[in-house]
Amino acid sequence: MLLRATFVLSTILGLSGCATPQTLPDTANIQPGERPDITTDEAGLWMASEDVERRLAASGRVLTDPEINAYVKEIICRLSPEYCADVRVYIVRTPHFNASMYPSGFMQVWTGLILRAENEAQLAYVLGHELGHYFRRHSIQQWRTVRDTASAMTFFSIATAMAGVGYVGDIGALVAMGALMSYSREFEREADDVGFEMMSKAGYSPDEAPKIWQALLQERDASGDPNQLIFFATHPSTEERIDTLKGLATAVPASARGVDVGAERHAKITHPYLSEWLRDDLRNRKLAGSEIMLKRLIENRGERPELQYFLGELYRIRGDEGDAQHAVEAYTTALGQKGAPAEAYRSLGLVHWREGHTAEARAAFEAYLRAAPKASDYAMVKSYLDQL
Amino acid sequence: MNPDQKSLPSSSFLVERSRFLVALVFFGLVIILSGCAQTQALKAKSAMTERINPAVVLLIEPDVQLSVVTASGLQEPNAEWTEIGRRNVAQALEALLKEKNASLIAYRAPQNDLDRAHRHNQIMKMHGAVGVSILNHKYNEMLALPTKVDRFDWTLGPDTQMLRDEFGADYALFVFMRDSYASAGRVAVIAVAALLGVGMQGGMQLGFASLVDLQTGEVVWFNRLISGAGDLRTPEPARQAIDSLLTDAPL
Amino acid sequence: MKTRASISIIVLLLSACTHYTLLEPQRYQVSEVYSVEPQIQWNHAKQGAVELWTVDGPLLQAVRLVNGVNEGDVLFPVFGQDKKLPQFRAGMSATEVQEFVVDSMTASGAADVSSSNLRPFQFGALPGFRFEMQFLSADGLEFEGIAAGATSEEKLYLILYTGTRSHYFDKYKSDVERMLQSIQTRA
Repeated sequence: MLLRATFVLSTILGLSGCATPQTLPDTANIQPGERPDITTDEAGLWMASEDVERRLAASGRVLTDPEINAYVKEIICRLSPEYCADVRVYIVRTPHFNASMYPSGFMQVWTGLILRAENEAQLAYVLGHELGHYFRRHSIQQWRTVRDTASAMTFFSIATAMAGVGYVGDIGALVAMGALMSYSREFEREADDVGFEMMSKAGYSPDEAPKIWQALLQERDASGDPNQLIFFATHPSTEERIDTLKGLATAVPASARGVDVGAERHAKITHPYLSEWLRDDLRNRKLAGSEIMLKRLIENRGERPELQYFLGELYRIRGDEGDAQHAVEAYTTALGQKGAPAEAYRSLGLVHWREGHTAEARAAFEAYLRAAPKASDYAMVKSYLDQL
Repeated sequence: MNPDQKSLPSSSFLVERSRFLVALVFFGLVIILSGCAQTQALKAKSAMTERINPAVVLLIEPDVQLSVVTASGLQEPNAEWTEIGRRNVAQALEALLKEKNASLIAYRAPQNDLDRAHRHNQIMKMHGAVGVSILNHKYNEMLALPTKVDRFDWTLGPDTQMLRDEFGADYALFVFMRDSYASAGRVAVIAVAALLGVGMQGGMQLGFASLVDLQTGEVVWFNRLISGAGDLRTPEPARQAIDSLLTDAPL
Repeated sequence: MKTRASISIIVLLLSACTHYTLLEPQRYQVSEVYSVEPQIQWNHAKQGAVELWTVDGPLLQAVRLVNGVNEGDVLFPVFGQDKKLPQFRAGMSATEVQEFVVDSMTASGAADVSSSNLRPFQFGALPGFRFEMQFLSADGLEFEGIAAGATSEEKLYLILYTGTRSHYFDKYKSDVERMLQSIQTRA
């Protein structure tokens, strides 16, 4: 019981999310600077949340570079100047599309999300969604629902056990679970609405909000796995979200329509991390999605050698039919550009070697050794020349 | 929350602090709880022969959390009780160490010095990994390590000298306590279940403490507490819990 | 999420069934293909195709001896997740095996894994490779590692030593180095 409780609580603490209101219980927004009274269940949740924050801060996985931290924090303050002082952001090196908001006011933003946002406006929409969870107090509401539903179930199952109809209890459990799921979907819709309103009011182009979903939808469809992106599991259907957001964007009057997109700034800030994040992404082995993502990046940011290099890496790792040829093309494109990594030669050699193209493999390995005479794997690659 | 960390393989490279709880609870579930506290201390060889007295003890902020057990058995952390519990634990520790003629220094994390803070953090994380290893391999028969059967020789390594130098302390003391209490709803469930002849768990007290020689990094003493009774919300029972946990500490 | 949580509890309980036996410092046949001669007593447990050796516990230091990874196999299986994990392919070069090992470690929870010094290494009679690694556990404790291996008849044989950067890695590093030199392979 204790175990289960710990896990349930930790699940609820971080409302994953990305972003309309239905009939929800009447809960007052959290006020700037507000802390729950120490005698409340909410204070207990804050305490657990603060514990998570301390551990995260010391995990060694949080990006410490001031520039990118300032970038994300500035967006939050622009979206919500009144809550700016209450919200702490941690950019966590994790190659998945996600962000989560915790009840005590700290937010995790994963690098996989920043990599996939095409511009500042799209990122602002997601951050706004997360802020919506915070000041609508979704965490505590979710916890109360879980707690009270579980308690009701316990009494119900004991009562049915007494009446000798144990099975009915199980059906009760299913109903209760269903109730929980729909609850969280309503929270997501509400946060979607809040996120949209904030980004739109802050002067960002409202048309960008649905675009981040469209891009993710493409990745999901390519993977053929509806649950591949964590995000989709507990959230409203992506198609529904896109339709809702498109509707909201169209409804914004021309006089109030922001034009800020911030594609260049986003590209500039994220550029120093690109190689690291792309490598992390390929390590996930969700290659169909990564392929869509990489091609989108190439389309948006132009022909950068590292993008072509990682596209080559993707095809080399996947190794399906025709991938060897695609890999060779991508590496060759990368190497034709200024600033291509020397590793592109090595990878090119590996693909040719696998394909039995001995002369091409030899030329590529030799080029690698020339380009990287101090590489720590020099002797290894040199030994490949003997094995060819 | 972080789905990446949820699916741990058995050959995991991870050490999660929450696993303290998992490791502790595992035994809590296996052992049928009696009303009284159960402790089981381990001592390093050096602790049997050498003893620094009077010792200076660096107290790492005790990790204490008090919760309510809801009717269904979920644990809800309670901030007010935790604050009271932390205070009671701190006072009980102070009183006990005084009786043992040891002086106490409270640990403070380095401020505005990222490098030093990082190195301190590594020591704390090392203690986490060592603590879980001790709980796993010394308290759980199924995971017993044959070479360790007659030995208790874990260490945090010589990096702990840094703490010795900074704080002028001989030992570091780590204390971890979790205490939970049945809510009114839970009590009702237990009563109904009892009518049906089913025993259900109310609250539970779990904890451990370790004493680390900062000169060598050696864990000189370790103890674990599991109890179906006890109450950290009131000073006297808190004192009893800390006493049974630490009485035996070689100070 | 809930399902994942319960799976991890099951995994935890299953891993609690790992049973350690004593391994004396004498020649030990790891598989039909290779043997090693440890210098000290190790505690030893089998986890599928992987043998786990440790002195102080696997959260602190461990030697993992991998017995013949086949085409399409994963290095560290995770229940129900194999399709998403890096798979071994016959004919991989040392560079690709290094990538396979690093990516597999990342998939099983190690963070910020970096590898260096990939170089030729004589794995008994087999021409093999070795490299060093650095990584963080999920909560950020620093680790170091050594990997040495070779492929034979389309299977991968690998010895992986990992330990905390402070103390536990160094504690048995020289014993592991001597063990790597003691590898004997059968034709």
